[in-house]
Amino acid sequence: MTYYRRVPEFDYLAPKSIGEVFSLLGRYKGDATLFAGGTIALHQMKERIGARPYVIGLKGVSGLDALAVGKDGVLTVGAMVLLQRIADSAEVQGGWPLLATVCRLLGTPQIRNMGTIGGNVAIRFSTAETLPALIALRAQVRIAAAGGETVVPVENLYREMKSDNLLTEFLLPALPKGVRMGYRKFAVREHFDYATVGAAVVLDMDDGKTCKDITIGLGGVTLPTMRAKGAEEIMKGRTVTDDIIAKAAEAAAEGGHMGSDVMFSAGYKSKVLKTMVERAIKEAVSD
Amino acid sequence: MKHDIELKVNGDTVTLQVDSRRTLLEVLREQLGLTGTKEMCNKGDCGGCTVTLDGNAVLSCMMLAVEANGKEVVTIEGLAGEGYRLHPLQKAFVERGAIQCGYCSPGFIMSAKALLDKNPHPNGDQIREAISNNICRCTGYVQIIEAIESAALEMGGAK
Repeated sequence: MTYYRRVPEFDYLAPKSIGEVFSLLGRYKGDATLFAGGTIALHQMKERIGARPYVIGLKGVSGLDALAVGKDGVLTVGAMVLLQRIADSAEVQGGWPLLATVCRLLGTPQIRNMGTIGGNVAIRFSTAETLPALIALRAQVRIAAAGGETVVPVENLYREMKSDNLLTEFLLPALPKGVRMGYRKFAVREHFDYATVGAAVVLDMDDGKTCKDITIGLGGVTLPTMRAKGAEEIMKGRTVTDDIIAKAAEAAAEGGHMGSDVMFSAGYKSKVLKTMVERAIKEAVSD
Repeated sequence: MKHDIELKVNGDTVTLQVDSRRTLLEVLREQLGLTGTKEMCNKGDCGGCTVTLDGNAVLSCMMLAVEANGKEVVTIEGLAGEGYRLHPLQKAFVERGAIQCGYCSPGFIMSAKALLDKNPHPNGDQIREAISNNICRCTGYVQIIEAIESAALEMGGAK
């Protein structure tokens, strides 16, 4: 792959509203690309991957950078909210600490000061590090299209989102009192590299022993297998023991499909994923 | 496509015309002549191009100049005081042997500056986290971390 020093030529367009984004997308059809934080997009442009003559910058679009808790207790996170802002937010740390943790452990300070949560999810999809946590937190996502908008569970995003759609915000429901959370990621260098695999867990326990409810999001696996439903079923209603956690972790690793990459074989990643799930559940239990 | 932008660079307001595809790094080095900010990997891995944008450390090679419109940029040239009096971070890097070839130093120092401006009392882990996007192939990081600790002390952030 040739990597060029210079970005190829294009025209930068700066719409101010979501409506203007869609009128530009309509006008330039397949010739325009959406541009959020830019940390991945510029890299791809320098590699001449998917370079298009028009770039639609989203930084000036109003209504994409909310980070607020509504009266119904739902946390709204706009697609253009910077990852560092989420990590630093007292409201996120208080009500959805799993999301704050995941954003704090993602990339580096520079990347978090530039990268957005919407860009992380929309451009990376299967390796998006925020996605397992958003799944475990049962987030909904609002997707805007030229003709309207839909709200879908984030785990169905890969199925619902089309190339000319705009991801506008995530909606995170308030969590039941006393709910516990855990997160583990495996990366070559902990504070720099993308998570090869990861696991995010939200666990609700009765009397500190029985698993009342659990959601498990997996990272580094193919999109349809990012929610470990089989593993959740194993845990639900059962007394939480090391044995049952190991069984659930095994089911999660078996259900999560992944390919080999330049660093690791699929078999190795599957073994590491099992360990990550096991540790994330144990972290949640002792949370 | 050309864009008229206004930046505050090291305290001075500059207006200039930039092409859509120009990165902030290219504009700083080639249009404004501020060659203290270095180009190395040009893909966000090495941190040599780190500057602060409205006080936050960012990678100028991974940012379009047009998107910095209206913002405040500080580069390594903006640190020294009057009469070329070195900033405590620059002084500490020299005194602690945190500079060998020197090519990565501006990036490290700008990352450290962004940290100390927000957190004057960083512990070792916070320092390591703050420079996690900066690569040095000469010194091995120990002197760099010591230099940042010593600059923090001198700047009044003794813990």
